Amino acid sequence: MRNQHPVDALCDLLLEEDLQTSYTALSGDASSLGRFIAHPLSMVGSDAVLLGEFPSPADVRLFSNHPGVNLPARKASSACRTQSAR
Amino acid sequence: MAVNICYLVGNAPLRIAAVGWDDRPATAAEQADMRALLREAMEEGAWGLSTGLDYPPGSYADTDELVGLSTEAARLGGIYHSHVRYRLGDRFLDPFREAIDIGRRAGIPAHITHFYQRLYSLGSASDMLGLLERARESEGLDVTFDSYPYIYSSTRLLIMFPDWLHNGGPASIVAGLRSPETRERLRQEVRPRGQSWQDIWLTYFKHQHNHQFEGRSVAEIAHHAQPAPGGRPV
Repeated sequence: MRNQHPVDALCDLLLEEDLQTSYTALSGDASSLGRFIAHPLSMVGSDAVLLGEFPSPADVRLFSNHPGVNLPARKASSACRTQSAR
Repeated sequence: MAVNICYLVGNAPLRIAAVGWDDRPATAAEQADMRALLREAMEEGAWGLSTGLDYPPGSYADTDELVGLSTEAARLGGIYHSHVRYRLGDRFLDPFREAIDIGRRAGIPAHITHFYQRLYSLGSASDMLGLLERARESEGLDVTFDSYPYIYSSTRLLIMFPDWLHNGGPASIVAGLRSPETRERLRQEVRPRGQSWQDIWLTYFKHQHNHQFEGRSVAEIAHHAQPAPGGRPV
């Protein structure tokens, strides 16, 4: 679309956009994610800011549908239901 | 569900206030200034110290500087929360070892944020979890972590650019991006933070003429211009 070296394209966009441009990338290993989420030392976290028109999944849903992470999602939703029922 | 919020003090704003945006060690007086600012913030309600050690100027702090700040936070009952320095040492466990070491030396609970196995990790999930489990079981250290339950990450594009470009702050970054000589060096050094430019999707464009790039990969945007052996696009 710009017919540039990727790094030049990034540099030009950063200059045009006051250095604010963000990105989303495929990052985690889905096969082991459940072990981390279910581990007793862990808590569920998020790590994204609601920016742009193509935000990270973190912005639109904290709990994924990944089979390995159903447990904490169920716990959190159960807690929500328990609270709202009171 | 009740919403609970606790604030942490980032080491980057402490550094900007006391040192500025320069990539250099903090002097003893500057370290004392940072400790005083941290102490003041915690006395006003902050829960501890937070670091994002892939992001300048916070990344310019060495381990000793972070131990000094964490010791101050520990004295006030705080925690040390860290996005670790992923480019440190073996780029696998060493970044987490630094966080544990700061917790050990400062006597402070250490919490490692977004702790998960990367897609192209240099080791196993057991290696990572075992490191934290041993720190707790063998040494009695208070180490915890959080993970986000999805396989996508998201952050500012500038994280892919080397620390030397950030030295001096935003004005220096702009000057560097405009410089042909700096561009040449960046073409050699900047690599996708992932497998390829096809797996990096851009977002947050304020200018209307750039909205067409929302959600497009860097490879798409650059139109697959591939670098020739000299690093120049064909």
